Amino acid sequence: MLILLFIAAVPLGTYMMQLSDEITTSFEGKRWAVPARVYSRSMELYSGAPVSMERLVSELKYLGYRKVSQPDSTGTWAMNGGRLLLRSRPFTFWDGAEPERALDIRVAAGKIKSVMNHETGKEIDLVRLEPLEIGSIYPRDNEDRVILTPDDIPEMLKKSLITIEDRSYYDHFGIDPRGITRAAVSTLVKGRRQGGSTITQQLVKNYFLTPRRDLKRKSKEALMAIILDAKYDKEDILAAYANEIYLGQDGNREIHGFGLASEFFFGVPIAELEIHQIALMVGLIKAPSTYNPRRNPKNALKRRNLVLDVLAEQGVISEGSAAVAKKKSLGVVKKKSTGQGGRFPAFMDLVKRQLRRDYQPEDLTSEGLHIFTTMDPWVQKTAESNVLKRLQQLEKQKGLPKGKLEVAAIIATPQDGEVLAVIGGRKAGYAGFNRALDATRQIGSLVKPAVYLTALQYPDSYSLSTPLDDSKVVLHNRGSKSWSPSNYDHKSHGNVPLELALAKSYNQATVRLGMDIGVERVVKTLHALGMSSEPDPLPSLLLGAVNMTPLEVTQLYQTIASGGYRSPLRAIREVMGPGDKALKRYPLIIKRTVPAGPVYLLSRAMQSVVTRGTSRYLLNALPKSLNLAGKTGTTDNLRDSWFAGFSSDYVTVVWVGRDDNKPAGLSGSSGALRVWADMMKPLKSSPLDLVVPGTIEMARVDPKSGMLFNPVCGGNGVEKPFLRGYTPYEEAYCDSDYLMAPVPAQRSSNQVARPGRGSRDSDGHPDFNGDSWDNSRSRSSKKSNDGLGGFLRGIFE
Amino acid sequence: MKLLFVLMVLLFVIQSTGCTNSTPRVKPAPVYQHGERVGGGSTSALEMPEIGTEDSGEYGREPGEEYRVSELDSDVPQAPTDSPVTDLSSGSLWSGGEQVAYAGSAESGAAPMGKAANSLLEKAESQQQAGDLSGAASTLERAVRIESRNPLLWNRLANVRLQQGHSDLAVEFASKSSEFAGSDESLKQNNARIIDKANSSR
Repeated sequence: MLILLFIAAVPLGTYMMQLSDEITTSFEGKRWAVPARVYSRSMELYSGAPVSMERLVSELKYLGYRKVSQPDSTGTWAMNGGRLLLRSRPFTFWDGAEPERALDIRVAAGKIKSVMNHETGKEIDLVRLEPLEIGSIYPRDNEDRVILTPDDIPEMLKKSLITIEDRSYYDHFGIDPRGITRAAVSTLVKGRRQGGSTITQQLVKNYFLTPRRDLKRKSKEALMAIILDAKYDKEDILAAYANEIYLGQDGNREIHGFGLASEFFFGVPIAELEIHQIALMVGLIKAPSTYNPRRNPKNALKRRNLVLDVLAEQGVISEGSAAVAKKKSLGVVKKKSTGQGGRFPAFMDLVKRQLRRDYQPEDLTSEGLHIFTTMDPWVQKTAESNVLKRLQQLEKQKGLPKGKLEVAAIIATPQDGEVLAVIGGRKAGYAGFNRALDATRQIGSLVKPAVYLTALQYPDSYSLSTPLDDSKVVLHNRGSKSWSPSNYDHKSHGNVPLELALAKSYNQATVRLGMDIGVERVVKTLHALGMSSEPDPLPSLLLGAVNMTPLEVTQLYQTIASGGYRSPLRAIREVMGPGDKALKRYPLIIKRTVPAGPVYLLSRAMQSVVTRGTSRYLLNALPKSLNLAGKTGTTDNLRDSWFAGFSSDYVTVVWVGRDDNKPAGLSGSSGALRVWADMMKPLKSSPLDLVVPGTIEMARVDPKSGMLFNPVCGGNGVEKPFLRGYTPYEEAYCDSDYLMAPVPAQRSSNQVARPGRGSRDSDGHPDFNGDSWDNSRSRSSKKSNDGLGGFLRGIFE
Repeated sequence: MKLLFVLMVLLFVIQSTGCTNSTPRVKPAPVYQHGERVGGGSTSALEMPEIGTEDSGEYGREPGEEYRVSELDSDVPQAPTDSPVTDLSSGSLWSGGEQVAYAGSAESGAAPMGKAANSLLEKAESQQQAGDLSGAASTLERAVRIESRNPLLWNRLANVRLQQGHSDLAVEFASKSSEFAGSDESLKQNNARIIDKANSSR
């Protein structure tokens, strides 16, 4: 008998050895493809931080902090006599760990007044809250998970798991013969299938095998379970089980493991789970769909309470705490994410395109990268909610068909080009066509600042007060019809100061100006500002017959908003790999691409757009003291409504129109401008305080003629900035008829600078040299098949 | 029954100490479906220097290295050198003496620095002294996000970039610092020295 057994055991042993090798390779390598996790920026708390109580509380809500009476565990906060007490979570950033802290925060007048250590009472200079996870990038098999180490798993979860799934886990050797016998008897006698699988077997089944239920697979499962148990530590196997197990579905995304399930169902890290939540998750294992707490809350509650009863019965928890836990609601948070885009698909889209350049898809979905982005959840969320409201209001007000208006917007920082928010359409949570990145539309008058900026680089001809001729203009092109653009109001306005011509967005004056300086030069300026395409230098370009995406427009206006320093727009700051190792930085890069003096003058003129031009709406909608600068844009037949503008903290571009390119019925100021104001209002920006470059000097001029103020004529004149050395030197005539003479289309005559007084910067270089930096080299060399599109490639490469 | 199991396990233990050349028959676990890149948990292939930094020699022309100042200007030195910043003044630019002078910048005209930015400035300085230039730049960028118009922060960023051999960026940051510097002449002079140094090393 023994010999027979032995003979049978030899091939079996060989087979087991093969299985053992298989297990070893899988189990000792990297066990799972660990998806990349994408985070928002983290909120910085310090005395003076522009964080209102409302903003701080929202941030805590996004992060899943619970409001309690006594914040003594991580992830909780309380209000106490105007102070916000907070127990922050520890978090490892690319540049070090932020420890758990007990904070006492005071907020006054929309700013943080002080941040103190609640335990020591000492002031803290600077604290970072953990960032909000805004999405993950998981592989094509749709398995998403957050890996837990054995130490990460709360004791209570381990005990509950074992009690419910496999009570003899610590005693058996991978399989539980008694359990199997029980199951077999039940199946044979009662004709009812009953699971006799141990945790180890379940892990083997899910991890190594296909989900068939026949005897052959069952035996293999048993053998592998024995091997696994013999080779590895019980704790390690339990952790693997806790990471492997399937617990729910989110669209295509499969929620695997307790680490992710905790975030998915309760919005908190696993360490913060309470017993009723643990019981719910353990109960889910049996049938994640049937007991789905969001879809089948009644089933889930019943199942959870059953689990709690068993835990009490087995002495894992007391009867008392089971009774308390059973009274609690499910505690499930509203579902935050849908599919690959997470909660903020439009922003994630930008992140992914930037990542695609530097990483293979499999790195993103398997290497467990942590990606720290520039997104500001507060900015993004308030923008999203205000945009939809305004669109609906506009449709109602203007009698437009419902639901047809679409929108796109980008909010970025002027000084470092970080993208804070992306609006890809009116339905913010919907991962569809991303208009902010992919809708290329005519930009209309948004191009005008480039025309005026070009002109202002010729200070011997143009300053803010140079009168421009706004009379009717007819351009003859050889071989084609003549072109005669008219003003928005179909009127001519005679001679208007350059600044006012921009403020009022006069087309006729702008075309005359642009034709004088040359369309090629304007194209060059557009490239310097950040345009990536090569439009034909046709006169129609001067009125915005050039297509761009909102993102590209944002780049142009970022350069202006930063005083002429172009920063490639960025959505990612850092990428951190496994072991908290910093892998890649996307550093701040700036480059002066247009000269400071002319940009300053342009910005002043763009402030006039708000104070006396097409955007006066902002004077009432937002505090006057913000000194905002911007420009409206409208295209033919009101197809596109644009507004681009900036404060000191934000540069924001909004487009409103229709996907079918039919007229939307809105001008820049009746459409996009309204959306822009709604988006900016809650952000409580600080005022735009333009830095006056050393190449600027002030002069008092006659507001009509732009000539030097002449006290003899009476009045006060106005103080205007000029490039140093180019202030007008002739005093105004008191006879205002002089003004009626049209300014020749060539270099204007009444503003010639004194010879030899040209402006020089501190290095002795002319401040306004014509060959501003041009990025055509990087533009022409790349071909697309990386899905970036011309402009994005321009930024990211 | 139990005896059989024990026997099997025994055999398995005996045999598994010897032979190793058997091959798995079951399809590999999910992690392998992406091919040989994975396994072992090594991420060295993912590591990319920041902008072709002092590390760039090690990586050759990895994809990450191309990012880049070259986005804006291809004249970035490909094999940057550690510019001895000590050449620039009597001491190193970030050494105690000069730093103190700027820290008390209220009297010299520029806006005073808040505690938060100042704590980051100090952190960046110790990172720079420890040779972690990339880390110092990252810390300074964080400070710039808090006080985006503080000339001293831009000056320090220029300094770090200069030391890394990114002359073009150093020039830009130094120029920007001077534009925000108001009447702080000593800071402007320091920026001018950085620009001179950067220009001569190009």
